[in-house]
Amino acid sequence: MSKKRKHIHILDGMSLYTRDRSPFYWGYLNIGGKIFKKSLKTTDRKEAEKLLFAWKNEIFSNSMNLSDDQDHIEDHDHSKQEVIVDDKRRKALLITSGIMGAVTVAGFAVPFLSAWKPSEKAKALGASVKFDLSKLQPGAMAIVEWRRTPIFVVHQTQEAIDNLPKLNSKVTDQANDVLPSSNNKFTVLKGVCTHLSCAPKYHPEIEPKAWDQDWLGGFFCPCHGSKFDLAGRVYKGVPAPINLEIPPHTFSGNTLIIGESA
Amino acid sequence: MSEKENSKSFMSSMMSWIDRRFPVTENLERHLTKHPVPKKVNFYYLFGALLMVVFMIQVITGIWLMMFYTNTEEGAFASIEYIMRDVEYGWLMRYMHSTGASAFFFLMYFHMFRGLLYGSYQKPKELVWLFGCFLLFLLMAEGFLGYVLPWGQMSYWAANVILSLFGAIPYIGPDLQVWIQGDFVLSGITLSRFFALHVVVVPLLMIALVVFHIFALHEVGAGNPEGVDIEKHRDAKGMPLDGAPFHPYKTFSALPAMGIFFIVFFAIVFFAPTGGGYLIEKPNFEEANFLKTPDHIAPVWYYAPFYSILRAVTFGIPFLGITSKFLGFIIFAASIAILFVVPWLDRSNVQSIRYKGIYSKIAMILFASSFITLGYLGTKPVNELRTLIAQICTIFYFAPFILMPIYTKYEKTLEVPERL
Repeated sequence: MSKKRKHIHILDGMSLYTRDRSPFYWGYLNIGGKIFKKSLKTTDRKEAEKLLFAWKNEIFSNSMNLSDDQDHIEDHDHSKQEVIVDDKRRKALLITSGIMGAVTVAGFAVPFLSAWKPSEKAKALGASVKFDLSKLQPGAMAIVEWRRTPIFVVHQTQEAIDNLPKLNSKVTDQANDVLPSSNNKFTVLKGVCTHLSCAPKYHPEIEPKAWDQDWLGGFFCPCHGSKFDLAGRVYKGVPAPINLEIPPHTFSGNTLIIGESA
Repeated sequence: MSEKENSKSFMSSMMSWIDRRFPVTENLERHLTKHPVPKKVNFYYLFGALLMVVFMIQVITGIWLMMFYTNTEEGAFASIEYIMRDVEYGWLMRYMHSTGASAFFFLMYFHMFRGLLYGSYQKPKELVWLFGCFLLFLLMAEGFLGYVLPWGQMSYWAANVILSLFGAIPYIGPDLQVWIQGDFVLSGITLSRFFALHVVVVPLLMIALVVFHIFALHEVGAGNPEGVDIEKHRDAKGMPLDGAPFHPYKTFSALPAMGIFFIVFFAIVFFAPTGGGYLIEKPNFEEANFLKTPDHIAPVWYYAPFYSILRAVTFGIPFLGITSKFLGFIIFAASIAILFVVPWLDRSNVQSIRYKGIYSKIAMILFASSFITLGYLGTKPVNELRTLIAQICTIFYFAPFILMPIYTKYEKTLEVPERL
C-alpha cells in the first residue's frame, strides 16, 4: 500500500483513493456530475478495482453481462444518467469560440499570404525607369528595358505624324489617328508583338517593302509578319489581334518616366 | 512441439499484441485480404492499381531529382543539365519522372473514362468519383508546376500563357497574377514558390485524396462492367457469391498488367524519352529567355485537349465586360468542373453502358472522339479551319454532359442480370 495519499484513475468518472492514515481504498464515482464515494473495505488494489466496478454496476442497476470484463463496462447505459445541458450557453460558447478561432486563423493567414506579394527587392527591380529624351533625334528609336520588357521610345518626325491619318483604312483601330501615347512627339510602346510576344522591328523609312508596297513606316514582326504603324496600331489581316501595348508612362520636362501613369 | 509451431505461436501472439494497440490485421483484411471485389471485370479495372504504381515512381524519382535540382532562376536550367550529364543515372531519374507524368495522365484518362462507361460515379459511389476528380485537378496543377521547374523556353512561355489567364479575370486579375508570380513578370521568385508547391503542397494533398478515394471505394465496393450489385447474393459466411478476395485474386491479376506497363514505360524512357517533342518539347532544351518567344507555344499532349478548348473561344461577352481570353478561361475551367457533377447528371436506372440505351452510347463516342480531336488540335498552330473544328468539338465535349439528365432519363435501357 502506498504511503502517500493519491488518486488512481481507473476509467472516466471512476477512481480509487488511498492515504496512509487509512488502510482501505476509497472508491470515487462521478456519475452525471454527481460524486459518490465510499470505503471499499479492502487493502488489495485488484480487489478494490473489482469492488468499484461492481458498485458502479449496482448504481446503474444494470446486471446484464457485467462481470469483470472491462470491455462491457464501457458500454454502460447512458440513458439512465441524468444530464443537464444548458443548450443556450453551449450554443453561445460554440459561436464565440468559433468566431475567435476563425479570426485567429485569418490573422495567421495574413503573413503567409502576404509573403507571396512582390518582395522589396522585386519591387525595386520593377520600379519605374527614367529616360532622357533630349538626346533622341527625330526619327530615331530607343529601347529601354522596364520589368524585363523592351520599351520602344520613338521620336516622331512631322512627316510621320502627318502620315498617320492616311493609314486609318488599313488599321483595325481606326479611331485612334493621333499618337496614342505621347506628348505629340514621342511614342512609347511595349516592344512585344501582341501575337506571340516576338520583338517587332522598327522600320521608319517610307519606301516599298517586301511586306508592303505602300509602307509609310512602322513596326514589322519578322516571326509571323504582323504589321503596326508608327503609333503602334495594328494593320488589318495580320496575326496580331490588337495594337502594341502602351506601358504606363509620364513626361516630366525632357525626362520620360516609364512605370508611372500621368 | 516443433520449432516451427513455436515460432508461429510467437508470431501470432505478437500480432495479437499489436492488434490490440493498432488494428493491423483488421485493416489488412478489410482493405486487402478479405476485401471482396467482383470476380469478373475487364482490363479497364487495372488502371487504378497502375496509377498507384506510377504515383510511387513519381514520388521516389522526384525525391532523388530534388537532391540535385536548384530552384533558382540562375541555377535551375544548369542543374537539369547537371542531372542529365554528371549525376550517375540522373538521366534515368529525370526521364522516369517526365515519362511518369505522361503515364500518370494516360492512365488517369482511361481510369476516368472507365468510370464514365460503367457508371462508377453512380449512387453510392459519388464521393469516390468526386475525390477522383479532385485528384485529376491536382494532377493537372502538379504537372503544370513541375513543367516550369526546368526553366526551359517552353517552361517559361507556357507558364506565361497560363498565368496570364489569371490576369484576364476582371477587376482582380492583374493584382492576382502579380501575387501568384510574386513579381511583375514571371521570374525566379515564381520558380521557387512553384518548386515548394510541386514537391510538398500538391503531393501531400494528393496522398490525402488517394487515401480518401480508396477508403470511400472500400466502403461502397468496387463496380464491374455489368453494373451488377454483387452485394445482393452472399454465401453463408457473408462473402458475395460473385466476389473474390482482393488478395490474391486481384493482386496477382494486376501483376502481368504491371509487367506490360513497365515494358511500355521503360521502352519510352530508354528509346523515346522526349516522345518526338510531345512528352518533352524541343524548345525546352533551351534556357528560358525573357525576350524571345518560341515560334509556336504548344502544351504537352496531356493538356492539349483543354488548351484547345481555351483557344476555341475566340469571342467574349463585351456588354458584361468579359473578354474572349477570360471567357476561354471560364469554359476551360468548366470543362474540368463539369466532371464533378456527373453523378447528379446521370438519371439512368442502370450503371453500365452495356445496358444503357443508344443515346448514352452515342454520347460516349462523341465525347471520346471530340476529346481526342481536341487533343490533336491543341498541339497544332491555329488557323481558321482548326479553330472551327475545335469549336465544334468543344460543343461535342460538353453536350454529352449537359444533355445527360434528359437522354439518360428517357432512353430505353436493357434489363441488368441478377448475377455476374
